Formats: sequence, structure tokens, C-alpha cells
Amino acid sequence: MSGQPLTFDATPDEMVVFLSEAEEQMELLSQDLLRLEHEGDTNSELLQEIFRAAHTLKGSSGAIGHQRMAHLTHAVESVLDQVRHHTLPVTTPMIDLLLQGVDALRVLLEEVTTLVESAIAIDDLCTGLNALTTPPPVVAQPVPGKRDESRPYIAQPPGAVATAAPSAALWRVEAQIAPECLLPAVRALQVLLALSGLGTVTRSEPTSEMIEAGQVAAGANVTLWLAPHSADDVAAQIAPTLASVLEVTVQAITPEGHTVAATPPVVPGDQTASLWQIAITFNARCQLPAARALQVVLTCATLGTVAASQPTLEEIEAGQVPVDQPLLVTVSAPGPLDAITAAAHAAIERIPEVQVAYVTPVGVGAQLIAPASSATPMPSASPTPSPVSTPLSIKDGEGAGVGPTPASHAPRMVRIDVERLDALMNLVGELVIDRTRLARISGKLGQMAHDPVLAEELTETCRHLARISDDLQDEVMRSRMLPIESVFSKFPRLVRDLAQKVGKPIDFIVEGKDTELDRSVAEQIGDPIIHLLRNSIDHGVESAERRAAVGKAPAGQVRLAARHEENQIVIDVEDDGHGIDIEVIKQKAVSKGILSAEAAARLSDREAVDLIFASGFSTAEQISDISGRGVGMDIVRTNVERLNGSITVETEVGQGTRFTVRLPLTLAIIRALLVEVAGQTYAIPLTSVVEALRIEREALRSINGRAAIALRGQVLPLLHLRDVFAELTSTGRPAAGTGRPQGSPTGDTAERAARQFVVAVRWGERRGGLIVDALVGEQEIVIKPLGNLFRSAQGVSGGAVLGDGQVAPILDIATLIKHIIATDRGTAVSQGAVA
Amino acid sequence: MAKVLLVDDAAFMRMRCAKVLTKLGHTVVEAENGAQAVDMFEREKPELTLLDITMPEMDGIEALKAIKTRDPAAKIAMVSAMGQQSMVLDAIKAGAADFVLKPFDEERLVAAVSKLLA
Amino acid sequence: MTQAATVTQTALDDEQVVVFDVANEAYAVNIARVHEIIRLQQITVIPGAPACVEGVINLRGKVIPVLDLRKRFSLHATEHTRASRIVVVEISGQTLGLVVDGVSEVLRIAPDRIEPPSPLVTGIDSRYLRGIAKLDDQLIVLLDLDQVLSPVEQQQLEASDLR
Repeated sequence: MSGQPLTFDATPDEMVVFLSEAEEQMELLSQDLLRLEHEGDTNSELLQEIFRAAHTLKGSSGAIGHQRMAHLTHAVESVLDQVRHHTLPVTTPMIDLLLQGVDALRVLLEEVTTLVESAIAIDDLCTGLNALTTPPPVVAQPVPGKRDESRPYIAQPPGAVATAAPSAALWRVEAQIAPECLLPAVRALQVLLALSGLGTVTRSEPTSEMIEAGQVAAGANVTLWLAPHSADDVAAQIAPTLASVLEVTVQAITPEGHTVAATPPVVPGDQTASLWQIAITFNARCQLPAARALQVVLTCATLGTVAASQPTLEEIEAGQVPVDQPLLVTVSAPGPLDAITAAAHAAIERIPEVQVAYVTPVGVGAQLIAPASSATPMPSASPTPSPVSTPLSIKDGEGAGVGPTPASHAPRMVRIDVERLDALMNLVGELVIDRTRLARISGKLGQMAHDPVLAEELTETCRHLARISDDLQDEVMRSRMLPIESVFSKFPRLVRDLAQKVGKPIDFIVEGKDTELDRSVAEQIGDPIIHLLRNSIDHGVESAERRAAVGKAPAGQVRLAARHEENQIVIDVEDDGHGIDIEVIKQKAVSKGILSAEAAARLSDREAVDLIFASGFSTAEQISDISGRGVGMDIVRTNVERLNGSITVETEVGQGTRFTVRLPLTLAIIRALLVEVAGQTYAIPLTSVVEALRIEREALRSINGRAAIALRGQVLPLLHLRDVFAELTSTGRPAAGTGRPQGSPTGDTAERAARQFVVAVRWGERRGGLIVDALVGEQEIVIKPLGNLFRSAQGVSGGAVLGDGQVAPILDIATLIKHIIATDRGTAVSQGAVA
Repeated sequence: MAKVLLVDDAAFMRMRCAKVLTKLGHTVVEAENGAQAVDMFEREKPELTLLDITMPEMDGIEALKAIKTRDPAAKIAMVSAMGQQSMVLDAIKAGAADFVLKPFDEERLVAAVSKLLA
Repeated sequence: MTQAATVTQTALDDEQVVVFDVANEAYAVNIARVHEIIRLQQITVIPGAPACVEGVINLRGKVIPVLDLRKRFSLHATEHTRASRIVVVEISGQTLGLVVDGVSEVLRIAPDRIEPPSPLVTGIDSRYLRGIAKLDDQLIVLLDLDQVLSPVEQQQLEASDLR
């Protein structure tokens, strides 16, 4: 089956809506399932919400013709329906199965995009889910194709199935539902309904209630006892009737004794009778005949008083209306036949899918002639045409309480394709560039001042344009913002699975879900956070036994919190585990050859903890399949830094560890400090800039053979960008041990001015200084990717289009600082350390 | 042509249904839950309302009752999934004029709407 | 331009090419691959970029890499002049600029005028060549644009992860 090409019934624009909605529902499902596991079935709002999600998903997937998806969502929905009605308790195995169902649904959803059937098998899952809703003794798992004679007879509650109609014999009909049948209960119901057309089904196994509750397994046998309407050769009619029901094979039709009933007396027509029988037939394609029957009976109540009906009102309300058998309604109304017939036609045929077959007089007064057995007296109906006002038993409990809702305007939401927002953002970026450009031109013109009034007007217009474009940028940025919940929502499931896997109970706390951030950032931070969560569960939190031994609660606490701080989003991943042992870290680093024992001894505690971010470092005793192949934290750091963010760690032995990730709110437009190096302008993200200084050349020190200055009592190692870039550009790639030319630590001193500019930058806890030729100023820049050709370009993270249209490389501070530190420490400098 | 109020919490279903209706020349107004539907009904006075049953805020049955209290002559058809028979029966007792089962085929929807608007 | 007149018979098979100069040789690429030809503008050097990459320019808000064909063909590099142009082309789905010494004309070349490349005719590596067009008084080297980037660069270009 897998690999089959698939087609779905939806236009491309419908598909977009379908996909985004389906993804939403699945997300909701998996979140709510975890809540359900936590809260149990006490929160009725949750129960409704989760059921609705499954229900909507079923409807939509059915609508596009995704059978496997519709089938699986149906199984999920059925379980949730029973949970919602408290007929099925919430258990961990149930949640497991439902979560697996959601996982499978995600795979099935992908088929919508790939248009190829995936290899995933859903039959076991559906069987498992159906088994939850099916009490085991009722439908024992049948062996397909084999009749199960030993199945116990299930007693039928009296009156559940229509009382016996006039017939001569009782027939036992046995049919098997095909093992591959998707909706076995529906097939069973069809069998039941089809046979009801021939007579009255006195009993069935499974019972009609069970069938309607969906408690029929594929491959099961269905046995029905039929009391035919007429004494004709019923056996000959049963098989052809059932032949119209798909996926059902008739196994046996056997006569079983006789029942005695009277045939209805035929009364000669009375043109002025007051009791009429109206026979109504259903269209063959009629859906929900019971609903139509109810409409008919309600409509008949407008013609007169409904004295009886067949099927009875109870049967109708229980949904027991065969589509291929006329509905007979006995109405008490005085008048001539023509008038009644005309009125009946007019009123009833407004109802879709039904026709009046005939109207015949059956009696006078309230005296009912036939058929007595199935007649149920109806309460008298008022003649008003409104169906609501009929005195039939209409429950109006909560319904009456529905007052007028406040005339709140529905939120006018519009779905926008992400690509459109991105395009809009790009355009705003262009506008920001032109705005800066225009301001520059205006400034120049103002200096020339051929026409001071006009120049002033231009300046004013530029200022206004600047304000407007600022506002526009804000608005567009805001429209791209989404709550971090969209990222966080998948974590509870992840934590649950991990906790199960490592056998540590975890109490997972999520805070600040509403914190908003730009879509571009949101798309990228998921993986680093997952890594941190895994790390906390795998390495941070102790085993339950160990926690008990040190007097902690058995469940380890993992906290994930987001908040805004200035123009950054700050995310904490914190655990209350055993913390990071600094001595262990140092030993490990030395044994892994990351640094020498002497260097390790010199490290401050903070620096030592930072070693966990070093490439190739892992403190896990065994490599588990959770934290991966020991390539944890350095990858996390690299990914975070690539987003112009930073990561820090704080730890206390025995108390726990907290990782803090700081990210810019957006990746598209940033403020930057522009500097000049060798005649070209470069941009440094302002988030990395500590300060910019002008220094006298005498202030330069040489420490460990490298340029440095003392800044507020601390040594700031320096990097001559001119030298670094000259070397990079001449060789086409960074050479080992660069950062200073051979010989003098300050480079070609003859070319240097007596005063130099240093931009102090920081990355995480680390600081360094970049020596530049000139400071140009601060500007908002639009970040443009440079493309793959420049992947080897170390030290540059992108390009910025400046106000004058020029492109300025954006400096990759993370790499440059690593470069400074690597050369400064005197540790092995390789391309890897720079990369 | 008529104004039809389309109520469903699933945007996909609304989209699909609205296409069929606009193709017939009807004007379509939409609501995504029962509470909105009641509001919209009062504001837009549609000639026909297609009402989904399973919805947040206020479900279709409640919305049906609320609309019927405001306008007993309102023409409302329920849109329901298979397996919601008892709900459809409740809806009919509460005054729903018709129902359409999901997933519906276009023909059936067209027939139902035409019949109701006739 | 005399030979232009002789070959501008509108034969359907003719190939229409843009002819440009690099180090006093005439080169051509199929006109369908050329997006536009722009004046030389200031090129921003990206430290650490591959050797043949001159840098990047801003093409109406889009940052595109610029390759120097002299460097690519290992020819003697000279200062750009006022005649220098950037031929904007597309290679492997990416827009690239090629710095040339000057653009001379657009020609139609009949297929029978094109011969397979011979390394003896030109000084440059024959893998960049698609053929040699022999016109009345001139040889034009037809460039294979897809070979202008080295396999490694090509791979870089096609790699999915963007910086």
C-alpha cells in the first residue's frame, strides 16, 4: 500500500486552509491530551474542546477524501466522546494510545503534501482505540471468516427493538462484516435497517444499542431475528436485500419457529372519516431517516392530532427508522379525503427526501382500527404551523436559559500566509533603507541651501516619512509576532516521553507562554530548547531514589520560562537536580584534551562551567539516546549564537542548574554600529557592543604576545580587524593562528595613527576589543543573507544594505571573540576553533 | 438570490461550503461559533442559516434555540457529522428545518439549500 | 559589426548570445541566461570568501555575489575601467554577477559556425567552454555557465542551508 500515489479532493487554496487548520487541531489535541492525563475528566470545558478538535479533524479529512485519516480520527473521536460522557475513565494507556494516534495523524497529514501514501499502518492503532470503547465481553475479537458459535446470547431489553409486526415466521439471519471494513458498526446498522424493511427485528446480536454505540468489530458476525411483515417467501428476499449492503456477507438464513400475529384489517374507504393514515416513503438516498420521520410526525401534528405512528415516536427518537419502509402516521382530523390529502402533500413534501405515498381513511372518531400493536397515542397537537410550539416532548432545559448574547463584534481575523508577511517585512526593510538614504540626501541639500525654504520642507517631509516608516515597521513586526506558546506547546509531550524513557518522574512547569516573539526567531529556537530540556532531564535531574536519599521530592522539577527584557526574549530552562560539579567538569575537559591541567587550574568557576559548551564535551557517563551522541551544548551554543543570541549557565551543586538563552525579538532588522576598516564599512550588531572607545596608541599593551588594553581594571584582548581581514582576503580562508601578523603584536605600526578606535564587544560572558579605523555611526540595518557561496567566510554573518545603497558585511562577533580568546589562551588554534 | 449565514468552527468547511453557495449566486456571511452566529443572525437577517453542531462558545443546538427564540420563522439547517443522529433529532425538535451530513457532496448541499429557499 | 550583418539571418536554429570582453578575448553566453547588464558599482569585499568571488553588490535590495572572470580564468588581473560591466546571470538558481571588461554586442550565431572547444585556441581551461564560434574575422568563446563555478562552489550554491 505504501508508496501509492494519492489524490485529495481540495483546491490549492482550500488545501492551505485545510493544512493549517489540521495542524492547529493536532497541536490542540496533543496539548489537551496531556492536560487530560493531568486533570482527569473533571474539566468539562477541556473535554468538549478536545472532542471538538478530533471531530473537526474527522470532518475535514473526510471532506477532502483522506480515508485513512478520517478513519483514525473517527477512532480517536469515539474514545474522546465516551470520555466526555464519563463512560470511559482516563488512563495512562489510553493517553498513550491517543498520543500515538496523534503522531500517526501527523504522518497521515503529510501525505496531503507528499501525495504519496506513507508506510504507516493504522489498523493496529484503530483496533486498539476501538477496543477501548468496546467492552471486551461483547465483541470478542473474532477470527475473520470463522463463525463463533460460542458467543453468549445477549439479552435484549424489552421494547428496545420494535414490537413484532404481523408475520408468520421468525428467521435467524447471520451475516459477517468484512474484516477490512472501516466502519463495521455502520454496516451492522445497515443490515439491521435493511432487514427492518422486511419485517420487525425482534432481537439482534450485538444489540441495536451496541451497534449504534459503535460496538461492532470488523470481521464480527451479526445475528438478527426477523419477524417478516408478510408470510411471503421472506428467505428469498433477505439475501437480495442484504446484497445492497457493502462489506457484509450473509452466512446463514434459518427459520426459527413461528409467531402469531394478526394482519391489519382493511377498512373500506370512508370519504368523511376523521382518522387518516398517511403513508410516507423515503428517498433511497435519504440520510438519517429518523430525523426525516421526526420532521414528518411534527408536520403531521399541524394537520390534526397525531394518534399513532409506525415506527412509534420512541422508535423514531431512538433512531430506529428503516429507510426502505413507509412511515405510517395516523392523524385525527375531520374533513373530506381530498382536503386532507392535499394538506398532507403540501405540508409534508416541504420536507426534503420524503414523499406522501397515500392517504387513506382508517376510522371514525378516536377509534383506531389498525394496526393496534404498534400504535402509541400521541399528545394532541396545536394547529399552529410553527414546529417549536408543538407540545411534543421537546426538552428545553438549558436552551431556555440562552439569553441574548451581548452584541459583541466578532473579532475580524484574517489568515495571512507567512510568505506574505515575509514579503511585507522585506518591503518595509527596503523602505527603511530608502528612508535613511533620503535623510542623507536631504541633509546634503540642506547644506547647499539653494532654496532654504524648500530644503526645510524636504527635511520636514523626511522626518515625517521616518516617523511613518518607523510605525509601519512596528506594525509589520507586530503582525509577525506570535506567542512563544507555539514553540512551547510541543514540549510537555516531549518531556512526558523523555521522563517515561529514563524512568524519572518529572514535574514540568511552563511559564510565560504568552511572551511574543518574531516568527523568524520562533522557527529557530525550538531545537536549542529541546536540547536543553533533554539535558536537564537526562543529566540534571537525579533518579527518584537518589532524590529521596538527599531529601528532595521524588519528582524532579524542570521549569521552562520565557519573558521579555528590553529588546530581547529571555528563556530559562531550569532544573532542581544535582547541579554541575566544577571539579568534574575540569577533569573531564583535561582528560578530553580540551585544555591543559594548568590552564584548568587557572579557570574561575564561571569559566569552568562554560567548558560544557566546548566542542566535544559531554559529562554523561553513558551516551544515552536522549541527549544524543555527546554533541550537546556546543551545538546549542552555536545555534543560539547564529541567531544573534547568547546562552549562559548558572549552577549550584545539589540545588540545580539554570540555562538562560537570550535572543533578539527579530532577525530581520537590527540596530548596528557601523565601523570602517581598510576603506570599507562593516556593521556590528548593537546587542554585542559594550562600548566604543578612542584610545591613544600608548595605551596599547602587549600581553602574552597579543595586543590588549586595560578597561576598567580588566584586560581586554584586542583584534586588529584590518589584519584579520587582510589575511582572510588574501588566502581566501582563515589561516591558523591569525589575529595578528607575524612579528609586532600591533601590526604595521607605521600605518597606524596615533589614535585608534576600539569597539569593545561581548559574547556571553566573554569580551574582546576590535580595533577599527573609524567609527561611522549607529544605524538600523536590514539583514540580508549572503548565500551559500560565502559559507566559508568566517567572521561575517550576513550583509546589511546601508542608506547609500552600499552593502556592509555584518561581523560575526561570536566567531571573532572565539578567535581572540583562542589565540589569547595560547590553546590549540585550528580552523575548528574559529569556525 | 439569498443571503446565507454559514456557521462552522472549521475555516476549511466554511470555505468549501461558501464556494458552493456563492457559485449558486447566494451571498454568504460567516460565523465561527454559536455565539457569533446568534449575533450575526440578528445583524444580517439571513434567509437561511447553515449551522454546524459541534462548536466552541455555544454549540449549534443552543444557537439554534437562541435564534429560534428571536425569530421562530428562521430557516435553519443543521450541518452535522455522521454519528450525531441524536443531536440532529434534538435539533429538529427545536425547529431545525433540515440537515446536511458531513462530509457533504455538493449536489446534496445544493439540493438542500434550494429546497429550503424555495 | 560587419559579420553581425552576415549572420543576422533569422534562422530559427540560430543561437542568440551576449558577447563581452575579458582580457582582450571575446566570450559569449546565451542571452536567455543573462538577466541584465549593469555598470560597475562598488563591490563590497567579504573577508574569507572564495578566491574567484570579488564580493557582493546591492542589486535593487538584493545582495548578490559577484565573480571576477579574469580571476576565474586565472588571467592577469587588471584594474576595472569605465568600460567594465557586470553581467547578471543565473547559475543553479542563484543570481550572480560576472565582472567583464566590456560588453560589445548581441549576436545571432548559426549552429554550424560553432565548433567543439579546443584548449589550443584559447588560453583558458577548456572545461569552462561550450564551444568556439568562428565568425568572419573573429573567434568567440562560448562559455558554459554551469561550469564557471567549481564543483565545490556549485555544491555550496546548491546546499539548502542558508547562512
